[in-house]
Amino acid sequence: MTQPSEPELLADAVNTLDDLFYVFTPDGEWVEWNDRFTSVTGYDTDEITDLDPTDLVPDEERDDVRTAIKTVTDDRTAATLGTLLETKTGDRIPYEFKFTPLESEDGSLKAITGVGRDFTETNRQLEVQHSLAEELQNVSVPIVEIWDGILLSTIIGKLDSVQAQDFTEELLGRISTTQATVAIIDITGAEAVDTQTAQHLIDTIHAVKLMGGQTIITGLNPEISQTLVQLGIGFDVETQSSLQDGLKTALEIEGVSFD
Amino acid sequence: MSAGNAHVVRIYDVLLGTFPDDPTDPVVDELQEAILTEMETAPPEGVILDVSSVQLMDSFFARHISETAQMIDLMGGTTVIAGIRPEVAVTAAELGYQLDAVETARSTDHALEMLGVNWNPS
Amino acid sequence: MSESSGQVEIQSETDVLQTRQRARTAAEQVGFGTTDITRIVTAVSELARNTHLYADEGVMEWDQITDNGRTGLTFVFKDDGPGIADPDAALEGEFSTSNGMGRGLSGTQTLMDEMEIDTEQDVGTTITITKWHS
Repeated sequence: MTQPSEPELLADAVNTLDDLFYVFTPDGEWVEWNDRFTSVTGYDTDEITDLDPTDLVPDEERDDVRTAIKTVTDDRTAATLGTLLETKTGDRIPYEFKFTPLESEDGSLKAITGVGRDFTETNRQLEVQHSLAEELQNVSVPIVEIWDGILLSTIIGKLDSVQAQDFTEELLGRISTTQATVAIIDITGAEAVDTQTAQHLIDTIHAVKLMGGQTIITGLNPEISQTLVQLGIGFDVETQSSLQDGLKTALEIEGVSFD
Repeated sequence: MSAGNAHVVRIYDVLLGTFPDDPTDPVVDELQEAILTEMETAPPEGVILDVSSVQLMDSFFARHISETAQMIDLMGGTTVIAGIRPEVAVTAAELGYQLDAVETARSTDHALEMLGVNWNPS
Repeated sequence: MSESSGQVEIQSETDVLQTRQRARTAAEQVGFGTTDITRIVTAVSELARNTHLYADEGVMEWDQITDNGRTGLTFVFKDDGPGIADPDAALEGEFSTSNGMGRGLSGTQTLMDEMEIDTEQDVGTTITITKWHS
């Protein structure tokens, strides 16, 4: 084991750490801790000596702390625990604690040491990632009734077969409830779709026709045009290159004029 | 006049045939009969087939509708099928039904509009 | 009484209605959505009608099945009828004239997830269709 070359520097360094640093006996008596430990927990030196490690977490977290420490004492392996640090004033902060066994030369457990890291920011990032992932899964094509009897759906990015089927059900259901007669599907921002999805979209157009509606597709690019033609789009759909023209056509169908 | 659970009603110059929810072959046949009989005596401008109660359309039903529409067409009338349910529309589209001789309408009201009947009960 | 498995004899028009109703109940029990229920009942109606028309009589059996955590519904249509002359062509939908048999089969395959045809001329036909609930 190496000795610190500059003990004072080492002490300063440990005290300057953003993380909590601590050492306690297997019986739960605090031996060493850094400045961050006191500043975050809010307890001073005298108060700390009266504390047990489990006193630093809310009641409901105490068993977890005991279990983690037991792992260290029994198995002599390190343990990590994500929990809440409860300060003297009762604030609860998400913290991740590590506990590492400190053994003597004769193999007995001398102490338990470790670091505690504030987990608030990480938690928040994880939450954002999680809800993003959820959102992506739930991505549905928004359908808006932009005028009496005219529905506008905007397909952006990728659309898989399952999403296409969901879209179909949603669109047809809306036509049913709103009694819409025109459905504009804007694909300006859509990426090329696979054959199965394209077939679903074509079935949707036919289904709209069967329900007495008229579909207008706007924002076609050559690639998608080709796929649709190859799959036999038929005469059930009107196409316009721009959403603007599509809207104009839709209003004409509905018998609205602005002249 | 009625055919079992199917009814044919005359509104001005238009015939309205309403299908029940699970139309069996005999019911569909009777409806067809009733419509054609009416067309022989006083040919209407159009015939509306109201399928808003129909829960499923298999190929047999689709064929019947097609045949009826073609006969109406031969006799100088227009056929409008009205009120296909969303889930039935999807199934029909996936099955590739060619309802060529038929116009489609969202509802019986829309169908009447299409046929130029100003149905305004006031 | 579980509605998700059972058997119906197909000998009359009324029986065809029965197959539709039982199929609908079974599909509802499995928890399929409205559109999928319609697909299933339409497929069942097609095959039941075919059986009644071309084979005079037959039987439909159905059962709820599971595989890898997902649930599905299987229907088996058996008859001792004349058999299907060219099942592959029928599935391709090559019967463009209103030969109910041909059209019905290719349509049924589109609506369901799996379909198997076992047929022998003058011996009979067994058609199995399956739809999975995601």
